[in-house]
Formats: sequence, structure tokens, C-alpha cells
Amino acid sequence: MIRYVIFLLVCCTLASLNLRAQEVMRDTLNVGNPNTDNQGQLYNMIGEIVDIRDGNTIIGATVQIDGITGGAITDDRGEFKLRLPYGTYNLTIKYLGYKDFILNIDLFDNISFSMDMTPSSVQLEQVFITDQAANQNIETVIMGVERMDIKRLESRSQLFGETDVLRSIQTLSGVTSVGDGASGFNVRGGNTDENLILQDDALIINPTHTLGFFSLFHPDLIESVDLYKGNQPAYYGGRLSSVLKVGLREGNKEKMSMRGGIGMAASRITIEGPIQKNKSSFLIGGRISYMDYLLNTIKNVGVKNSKTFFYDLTLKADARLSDKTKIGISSFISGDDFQFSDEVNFDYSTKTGTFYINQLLSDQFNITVQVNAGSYESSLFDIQGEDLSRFTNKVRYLRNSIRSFYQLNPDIALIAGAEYDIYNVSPGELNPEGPESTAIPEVLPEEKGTALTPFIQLDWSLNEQISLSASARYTRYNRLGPGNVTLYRDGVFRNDFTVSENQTYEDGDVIAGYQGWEPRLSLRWALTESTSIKAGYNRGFQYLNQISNTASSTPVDIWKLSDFYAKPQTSSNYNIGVFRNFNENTIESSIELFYRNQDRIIEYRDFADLLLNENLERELVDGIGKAYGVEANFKIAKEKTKWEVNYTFSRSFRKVVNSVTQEAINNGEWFASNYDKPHSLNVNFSRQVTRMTNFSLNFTYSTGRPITAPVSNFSIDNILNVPIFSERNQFRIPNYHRLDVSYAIGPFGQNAKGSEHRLIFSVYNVYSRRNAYSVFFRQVPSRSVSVFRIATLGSVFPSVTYNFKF
Amino acid sequence: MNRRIYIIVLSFIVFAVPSCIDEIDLNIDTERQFIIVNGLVSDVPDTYHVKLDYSPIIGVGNDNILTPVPSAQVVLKGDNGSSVQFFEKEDDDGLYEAFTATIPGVSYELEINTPDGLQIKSSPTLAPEPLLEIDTLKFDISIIENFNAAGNLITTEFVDLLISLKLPPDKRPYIRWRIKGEYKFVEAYRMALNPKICYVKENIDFNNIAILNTEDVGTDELSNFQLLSALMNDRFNQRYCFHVFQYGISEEEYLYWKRVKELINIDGTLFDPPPGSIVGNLITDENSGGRVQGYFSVVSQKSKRLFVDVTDKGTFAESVCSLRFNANNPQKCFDCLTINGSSYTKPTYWIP
Repeated sequence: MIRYVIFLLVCCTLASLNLRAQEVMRDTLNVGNPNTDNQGQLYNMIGEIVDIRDGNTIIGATVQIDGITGGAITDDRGEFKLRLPYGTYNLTIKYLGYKDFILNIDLFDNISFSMDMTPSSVQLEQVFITDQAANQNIETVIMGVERMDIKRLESRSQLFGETDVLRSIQTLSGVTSVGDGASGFNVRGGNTDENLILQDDALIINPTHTLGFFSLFHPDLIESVDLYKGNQPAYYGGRLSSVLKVGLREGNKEKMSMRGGIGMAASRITIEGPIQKNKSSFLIGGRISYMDYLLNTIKNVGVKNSKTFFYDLTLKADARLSDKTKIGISSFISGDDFQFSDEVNFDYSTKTGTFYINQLLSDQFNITVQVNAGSYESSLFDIQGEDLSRFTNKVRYLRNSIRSFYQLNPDIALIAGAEYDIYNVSPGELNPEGPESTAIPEVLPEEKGTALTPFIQLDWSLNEQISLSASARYTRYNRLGPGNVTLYRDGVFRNDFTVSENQTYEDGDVIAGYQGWEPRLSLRWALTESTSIKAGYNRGFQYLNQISNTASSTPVDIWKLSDFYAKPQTSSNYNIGVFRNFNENTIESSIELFYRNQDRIIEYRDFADLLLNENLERELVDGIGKAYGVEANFKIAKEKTKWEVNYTFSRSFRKVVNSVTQEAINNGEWFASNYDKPHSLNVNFSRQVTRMTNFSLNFTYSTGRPITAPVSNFSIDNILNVPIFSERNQFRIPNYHRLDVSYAIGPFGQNAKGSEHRLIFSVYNVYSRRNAYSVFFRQVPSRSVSVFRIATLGSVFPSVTYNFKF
Repeated sequence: MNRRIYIIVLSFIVFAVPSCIDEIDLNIDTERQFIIVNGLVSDVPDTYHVKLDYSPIIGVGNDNILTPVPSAQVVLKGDNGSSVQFFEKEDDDGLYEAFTATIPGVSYELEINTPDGLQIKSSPTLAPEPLLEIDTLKFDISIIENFNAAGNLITTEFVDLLISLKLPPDKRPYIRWRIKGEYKFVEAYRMALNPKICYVKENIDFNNIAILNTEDVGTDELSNFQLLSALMNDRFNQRYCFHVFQYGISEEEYLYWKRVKELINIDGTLFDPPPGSIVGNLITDENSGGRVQGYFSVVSQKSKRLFVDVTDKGTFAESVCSLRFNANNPQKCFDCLTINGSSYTKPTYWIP
């Protein structure tokens, strides 16, 4: 098997010898008349970058100025703003998948202009364009930020040919998961619920389909994916580890178009077009799965009788009401239904809705007002037994925000605003299913909480070498009634016998209130044009918590708001890194060190009973956590070939000390968290083989996650071989590694109307590595306990996907 | 090159063998050994036992073999000043016995001193108030249908043992049930002129933990609560007798058995909670590293027996002894004393 891998690598290397030059577009702008009296005068330059095909603005394009350190990035409106002295400048504008644009400007007066960028894919010869400005990694102030656009996503691992955001970001340094099919991802040793996941700023509670094998995000709709794993901007908060921001593109403002794909597991389609040409557009995208036929091919009877299904639908519309006003609405719904044999069935659904209005008040000042509402509901249906029942839980939220941006001068920008969130959580409801069910209905009271957070951020370039981004959030969180709080005697185990008082709160009463500052600071010191040092500090609170004591979170895990006992979790994150580019920015490298310490993290007593528990405080224990590590990243981009290699060494620990002996874990000593994976290596290679074909290869390796394993056993009374388990997380499952390859053909069949077709062949887990998703213990004759692993994707998965666009 | 890549991909597709579950070696290399304590006393005067063993060391010999702890001092102490010594049985190392009975309302503590200087104590436990009598015992036949590996439907019959009892209106007890079995076995072989009859005692409730927190029962009566579901085989060919022992236990003991039940029922699904360490009611001094496991039960007891004839339910359990093909019959068909726990002596309570 190894020789095949080596052969593939050799083929890739040979293919990389075929190099071609990159194309660029050029234009010139003359503004005002030259007048030497105006030398030294500052002028405003406002540019709008637009896709020539559909008239949509391009967010995240980079603008560099020859001879000047620094530049700009287009904002949510696709605009950039610069304030420069009288003179002549060469601007280079870049965006992945588009031709570079070099603009020569004679700046003798204030100017605003719109500029069309042409996609590289319509050229006869494709060119390899990086997804960021050549030295953006050196220039940006905030560290630990990763941006992926659809091109970069497509070069990553594909299961059943599906381009997948979550699977892709797990190839970035510091991002892991507990295994194939895990629901969610872990950033720098944090829990899955510590990631703020946003799709067009709408909160996504569970970002996965089909247990976790696919992500919720429709690949054809994605404009960009930003992952903040170090410092976070001031306008994001409420999670301790990271922010994953998935931005959806706008519909085509020029003409009606349709695109889609037919895969082995699911198909997708997108229809878009102008509502009013060049002013407003709509976009409708959906996906639907049909994987049952794949399950039917499995010999195992349980799997053969299983069913799985998902769908999602996105609606989006936006309109430019005037040169200064833009509004938009979007809505997203998704559903999953999974049944394993005739044992268990669960389904879950996500609904979100967003409205925003963006008003440009002056050339330097704009305001965005946004309202998001959404819900996540899951239910677990026990099919077997007399107690047929359905357990459901639900999270609903309403998030309102106002955000203003003020460009004080070319070197200073201010962002200020506030956010008000309302959460309603139904932690559990049990209902009998069918007339013969003997299950007793049970409903836990709904939890309600609010959080008001004003914030401010200052982005300041002190000089060409030093820039900073300083921000602060102040959050006031209230857990509101109605509700009951059970008080216990101090220093004793919480149970029925140690209750000292029951307190009742009416609707709207504050059951528990917490508040605090969340300061953030990022510094960048550019030593040279190709070298910079960055450092950051980030503090955050978390009020919405996923309650799960299984190693992998599941779609039916319950959620809980912070309350009298489960106080808001806090985290302080420290980062420092060196960034260095070589060979005219074709080689990027960085080394980042991070350290986190966490307070009030939620841990679980052994044998915690979490479902339908009105006194959950008896099962949860407070702890502290720490995580540290170093991440090394290398990117090499040479014309048609790109390598990305990253290695992470990190550790993640927890400690639960309690005056009550039974509530301490591992005798109050530090122990590895479920997500402690010290070594992680990712290699991504992509190569344009011919004009219309592209090959990519991904290899990933990580240390196995910790587990608790049996160290002995005993028999008692009539019970044989009761296992005696080690202290928590003392052992590890086998290491994880996997190789994936894909080969894309296209676009072909292109015509003047813009239609094109693509075929993608991909092979997931090329050498059939049986990576352990779950390890369990089973008794066999003459041996106490044997260890077995479940490999959810334990064999090779080839697939082919057809994508089209009309 | 493209062609070669396709050939390689195809090769992988052809030779890859899907697999979901397989055994692995976690290199669990420990030499941890625990002392296991297992004992019970109740309010019914009888001979009670305390068993002391060392746990096996994983990876050394048979992982299931326990090593007895001989020559220990075992004493049951009550807070009323009573003290009962358990003596080691001569022919059974590590098994200590005493004839005694507990008094409701008295707190009892077991103290063990091993020859190597280790002292183990159970936490003081109040002897529970006597339980209500068992109202009725009955049985039923249930049929479970499963598909075998070939996809064929297989039906299996089980004998379900059901209990009913009235519950006290105020303080609801925690209950644990133990079930012991006894059945009649008749030798059967060709030319058997005078086949002998054996009465076989067996532990039919292996790995069956029947416990109940009666607070969870919505009514004042527990009705047809299933204690056991036993595979219907040749043991039920003749008459079968269930001996049901009903123990009133403490909340701590209830939680202990509940956690044991969770541990032995871990079946490896994706949603199993992580396992944890079971803490019984036994403690050692700090120098021993706390390496003691097990439970010493102080309970109140009621018992009742039920004779079962499955033909009453319109079914029958086939005998394993065939008259036609003697050579293939198991040894017990020729000599029923070869069955563990068997005797020719008919119990005095056995019905015709």
C-alpha cells in the first residue's frame, strides 16, 4: 500500500514541473489635475470591486499599493477605502479565482470608482492564484485567522464527492475532531460547543448532517469561510475557542443562471438571478440526500435496515436601494432523519432567518443593523420496547445587532456597536408514542436567558511597522425565570438528602446574573516586508453550553444556559507568532504559540444521568482547564502547484478539585481532556495537471484521543467480570491517519452563455485505514475485557460527482 | 500519468475490504490488583458468607481467575455492641461464614484484617425495616424474533418471571431481587429401564441485576414487574422452580448496583457514556492506594418460590436427550449427576 502512496507523490512532483505564467489585467485612472501646491494633501479613495459576470460585489479582495506597506481588504459591501497623499499609485487587486488587476491611479482629488474583476476560469489557460494577497499573512494584524474560499475547499478531502466545510477546516493547524463522522470540530483543545458557527451571521447550533459525516453548508453558495481560532473581532463573542464564519454569496444581478451537482450521496441545485437588473437579486439553493441504497449494499443486517436522509434549503435576496443603502434577507432550513436498524431513530432540524440593512452615512461612516432568529430541534425516538417514546429538546434564539464602521483616517478605523441576544432552551420533553406506550410524559421547564453586549474596536496603524487592533466587549447576562433553584448544604454531596432550600422564581425574575469585560488586543510588528511578529490576547465568556459526556457530541445532545450552578465558562487566550515569507511570497511560513486557561468549565461526574434530569447540578462539576501548543504552517505556491503543510503540537488538560470528595475527578489532578491530541500533521497538495484537470491529495495524521480503559475486573454475587476502569482518560485510542485523493476534470463544454460542466473523481481513505471512531470493551471467554474499535469509515470510499452550470 | 492514477484508484477499490469493528491492542500494561469483597447479611437468621479475593492482573494467565484471600479476620460489628466473627470454611479458601441475623434499626459495619496487614472496613449501614411480603409470582412466555447472519428470521422463546407486590404509601423502599433456579432432570436414553431423576440447583440470574427504586412507581402497587427473562431450553422440559429473594437495600447500594448494571451493559454504541470507576461501601487505609472493590450488603429479606410448567402456557421445551440417537446425546442424559449442582434427593418442597 505504501508504494502506491509513494507513486502518487512522485507523480504529483513530476506534474509540478509544468509551469505557466500568470495573467493580469490593467487599467488607468486619472482624477483631478496635477497641482504641485496640493502636494502633501490627503485624498479619499473609495473603490468597489465587482464580479464582471453577475455584478455582485466581491468581499475580501485585497488591495496592495506598490511601495507602501499596508493596503486594504474589501468589506461586506465589496468596498475598500484608502486615504492617501497627492500622487501616483499602482494598486494591485487580488482575489482567488480572478485575474489580478493592476490599476494605475493619478490621485489629485477625492475619488470613488467601481472596478470589474474577471474570473480566471473563463480564460483559455487557467492560472493558479492564491486565495489571499501575496503577503497578507504578514500584513494582517489579528493572528490565528484562516480564510478558505470555494477553490481551497474543493482541494480538500471529499467524502462521496461532497465539498465539505467542516472536513476542510479540519486540515488546518489547531483544528481536530474526535474521529470520522464526529459531530462538530475542536479548536486548540476546546469542546465542540466552544465554536461560534455563523452562516451569513445566523447562528448555527449543529453544523452537521447525517450524524456528522457531512456539513450543513451548501458548497455552491459559499463565498468565503473564515475561521478565527486565536483572537476574535469585537463583534463576535459568546464562545471560548473560535468563530467559524461562513459567508454566502449574493445572487446573480445580471442574468438568470442555474448550477448544481449530482453526487453519489446527495445532489444539489442553485437557481439565481436578478429581481431588478444590477440592483437586486435572489438566490435559492438546496440539497437532498439519497444514501439508503449505499446502506443496502452493506452485509450487516442492522446497517442494511438503517435509513438516513437529509435536506437543506437556502433562500437569499438582496437589493441596493440607493448608492448608500443596501438591504438583504436570507433564510435557511434543514432537516435530518436517521434510523439505525429497528432500534433507534432520531431527527433534527435547523431554521434560521436573517434581515440586515446597511447604510452608508458618509464616505467614512456606515452602519449595519441586523436581526437573526433561529432554532435547533432534535428528537430521539426509542423504537423498541413497551415504552415507545420520543425525547425532544430545542434551542431558540433571537439576536439583534447594530454595528458601525468609521474610518477616521487611513490609519485609524473604529468599529462600535451592540448586540442583544435572547435564548429559550427546552432541555427535554418526553412523550409517549402510540396508544400502547406506557411511557409517562415528562417536560422539563424551559430556560430563558438574555445577553446585552456593547463593543468597540480600534484598528490603528501606528506606523508602517506597527499596527494594533484593540477591542473590548462588556456583557451582561441574565438567566431569567420562571424557574426553581434547589439549594444544598455546603460541602456535601448534592442529593435529595442534602437539600437545604427550594427557591422559586416568577416569569422575568433574574435567577442568576453575570457580567464582565472581554478585552482583546492584537499587535503586529513588521520587521521587514516579508517578516512580522504578532501577538494577541483574547478573553471571552460562554453562556450556552452543550451537555454531553460522550467523547463525541451527538445531534441529540441537550443544551443548557448558564444558571445559578453552571456559571458562565471563561477563557483567556494568549497567542504569539512569527510570520515569514520567502521567494517573493511564494513560500509562506509561520510559527504560532498559544496558551489558554479556562475557568468554570463543565465536567461530569462518573455515571452522570443527563437526560430529563431536573437537578442537573447534581451531575455537573466545575473545573478549570488549560491548553497550550505550537502550530507550524508552510504554504508553497508555484504557478500551478500548491503545497500546504502544517504541524501542531498541543495539549489540553482539565482539573476538577472539589471539597466534596465524590465530585473530584482523578483525585483532583490534571487529566487530559477528551480532545487532547498532542501531534497533528496535515499535508495538502494540489496541482493543475492540464488546462482542464486538477489533482489534489490530502494526508492527515493525529495522535489518538484519550479514553478511560479497564485495568482489571472482578466478579461479585451473580455478576461476572465487572470491569474496573482506570482513572479518567489515562489511555489513548490508536493514532489516526488517512490519505485522500481527488481528480477534477473541467470546466468543459463552456459556451458564451456561461454554461460549463465538471467531473470530480475522489477517493476517500485511499489505503483503507480503519481509524477508530469509538473504542469499546467486551468480555470474551477466559479474558476479562477485550478492546474493540468501531471504524465508521474503515474502508476506501471512491466517488464521482458531476457539477454543472447554465 | 492520468491513466496510471486511474489504475491505482481502481486497484484500491477492488482490494479494499470494508470493516466496521475489529479487535485492537491498547497496550494496557498495568499490574494493579484489587481486593474484592462480596458479602451479605439480612434480618432472616441463616448462614451468611463473605468472600475475599484478589482480582486478576490483566494479561497474566486467565484474566477471569480470582485468587482467594485466606486467613483473614472478618468481624461484623453492630452499633448496639454486637460482634459476630466470620470463620473461614475449611474446604473453601477465601470464603468466610457465620450464622447470624441483623436487627432493623441497628447500624452494621464489617471489619476485615488480611494477613498482609491490610484493614478494610465497610461504611456503617443501617439495617432496613422489614419489607412487605411478595404478593404474587407468575411466569409468561415471550418470543423474540431476530435475523441471523444469513438474513433468516429466527424465533427464540423465553420464560419471563414476573412479580407483583403492594407498596407502602409513605417511604418507598429500594429493592433488589436475586433469583435462584432449580429444575427436575430425567435421564433418558435407549434401553433405560430405570432412568434416574436429578434435582439441579443453578444460578439462573447470572449478570441479571433486578433492582427498582419504588419511588419511580406511579401507583401503590407494583404489578407484573419483570425480574428475569430466561432462555427456554431443556431445563424447562420438566418442572422448574424459581426461588425469589427480595432484598430491601439502601439508596447507596441501589446506586451501586445501578452503576454495575450500566458497566456490564456497555455495548459499544456510538452514544455510550464514558465508563467510570465504581465506588462501593468499602474503604482501606490510605497506604493501600484504595484498591478495594465490591460491596457488603446489609438488607431486609423476603422470599417466595414459583413452580413453572411451560405446558400450562401451551408450549413445551424440547429435551436434549434423544431416544433414537443415543451416541449423540450429552453425558447428562446417561448420568444426571454430571450436571453441576445436581442431586438425587428430592427437595421437601417439590410438588409432584
